[in-house]
Amino acid sequence: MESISLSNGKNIPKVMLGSFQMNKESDMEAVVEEAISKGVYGFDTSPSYKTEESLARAVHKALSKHTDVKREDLFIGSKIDSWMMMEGKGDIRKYVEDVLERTKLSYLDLLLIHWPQPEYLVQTYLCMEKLYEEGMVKSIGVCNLKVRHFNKLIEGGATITPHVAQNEIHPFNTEEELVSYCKEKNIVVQAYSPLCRMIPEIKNDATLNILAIKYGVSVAQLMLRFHTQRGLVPIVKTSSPKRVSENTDIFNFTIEEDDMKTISLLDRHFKMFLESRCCPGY
Amino acid sequence: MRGLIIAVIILAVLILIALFLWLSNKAYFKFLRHDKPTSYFKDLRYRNVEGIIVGNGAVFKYLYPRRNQQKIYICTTHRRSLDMDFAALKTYFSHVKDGGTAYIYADYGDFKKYKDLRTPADFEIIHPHIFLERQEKPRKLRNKYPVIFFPGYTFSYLFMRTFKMMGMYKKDRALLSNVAYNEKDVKEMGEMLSEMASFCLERTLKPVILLMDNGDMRVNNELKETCVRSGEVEVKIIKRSSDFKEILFK
Repeated sequence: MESISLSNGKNIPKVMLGSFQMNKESDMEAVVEEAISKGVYGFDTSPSYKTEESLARAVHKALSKHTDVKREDLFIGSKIDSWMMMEGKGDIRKYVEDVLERTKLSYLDLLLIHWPQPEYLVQTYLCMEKLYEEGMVKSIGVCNLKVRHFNKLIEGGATITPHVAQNEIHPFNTEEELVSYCKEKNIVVQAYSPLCRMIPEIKNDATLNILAIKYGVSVAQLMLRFHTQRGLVPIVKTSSPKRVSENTDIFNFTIEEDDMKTISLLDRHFKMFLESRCCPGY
Repeated sequence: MRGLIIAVIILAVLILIALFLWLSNKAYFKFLRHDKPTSYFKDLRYRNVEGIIVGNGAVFKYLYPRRNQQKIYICTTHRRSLDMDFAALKTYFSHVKDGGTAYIYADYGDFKKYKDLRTPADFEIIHPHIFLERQEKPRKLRNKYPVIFFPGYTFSYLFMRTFKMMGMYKKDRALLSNVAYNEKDVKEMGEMLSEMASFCLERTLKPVILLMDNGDMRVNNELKETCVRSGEVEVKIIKRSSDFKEILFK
């Protein structure tokens, strides 16, 4: 699969697989196996998903089977959760060392701050900069940030612009302001919940269904293509190997400019993950 | 024989008391589940609402969520410190649309009375990270059996909630708090309200402070002055119970 260059020269796959609520180890193994055989090499996890170890085990297993694929070909990202930021008062080194030990990985391709815990956002980011310089993580980034949080990082003395910003983005929440800001700063944007968890309002949306018929694809494929055409990296989660193929088979059609605008018009700032409910004081 | 009868009577009384306490505890959680803000992941309705209201006491007693029609996200409760109201605001403000309104109801009397209060409801309603950050650990047993550990709070909530359910607080009433002026307390409350207002402004919410009418004019005048200093803050005085409806649902 094609990739996008980050500002530090590293490459990130155009589509990544998420692991939120992927509790069955057998599902994880099947999905990772299918993904690697289809050339999808990007995986996202987090301590709060409790999937770091199962994902790593599935990756190691798939790598031993596909000898032509090397660890360097993969892109594995994890996160720093709020409780870690609070417990370590911004010093998160021990948690990163711990995850590397537990997952038997020698480095992480991407380390993100999961939620901008107001009291420790800056300290945590400064600590991540050190880990990046030491090579323990190959890129660093942030999740769920608004422009005001980026400004806070700059005011706090951050010297490395985040390589990646991960936010909830789908047709009902296009995050125009954030995407423009990141584009300007050369930050690659990852879209989580890119399918808005396929809630009935999305699934049955007339515009999306009409356009899906027009391009001869599913509503999910249309939405994923919408993200990639905006230059975003969707992180899509599925427990079914069959869906891995469907969700990544999106590069054989192009959405016309007018249709891109039509999809953008569906934006109504609707979010599944309300920021303050996940991160108080956000 | 007589001793046995007495023993049986004592046992029966103890069983009745235990049953009463158990039922009260059950009723407390039943009411609390009803009053608690909804789970955002299961209930997708409350997104981009017009406003949010936090507060305790009169606002909880006289505000009927059924009139709401999902326009205002209601985070009011029975007996809560202003500090915990701020924590509730920090937890729930994302339900409000950009440019929406944050109503903060505060009563000087309650502020003095419940300053450092932590109720089992606080631990149910407010995000645990707020307590983690303050290194406050929820005491599980206390929160599970409030009827034993917080009998005054629990029974007053049960009585008030039952009366509210029966519609006894629907009638329009004059509201007045007659709590003596104390410079230090008023200053402290003003600073906290001002901090809450700044928090809202930073997040593009319009803060509206609702103050309970007070017999001593100095209280609200000073609070108003402090709040207005923090920026574009609207301060309104609640004189009647119907004012809540007027301000929020007009």
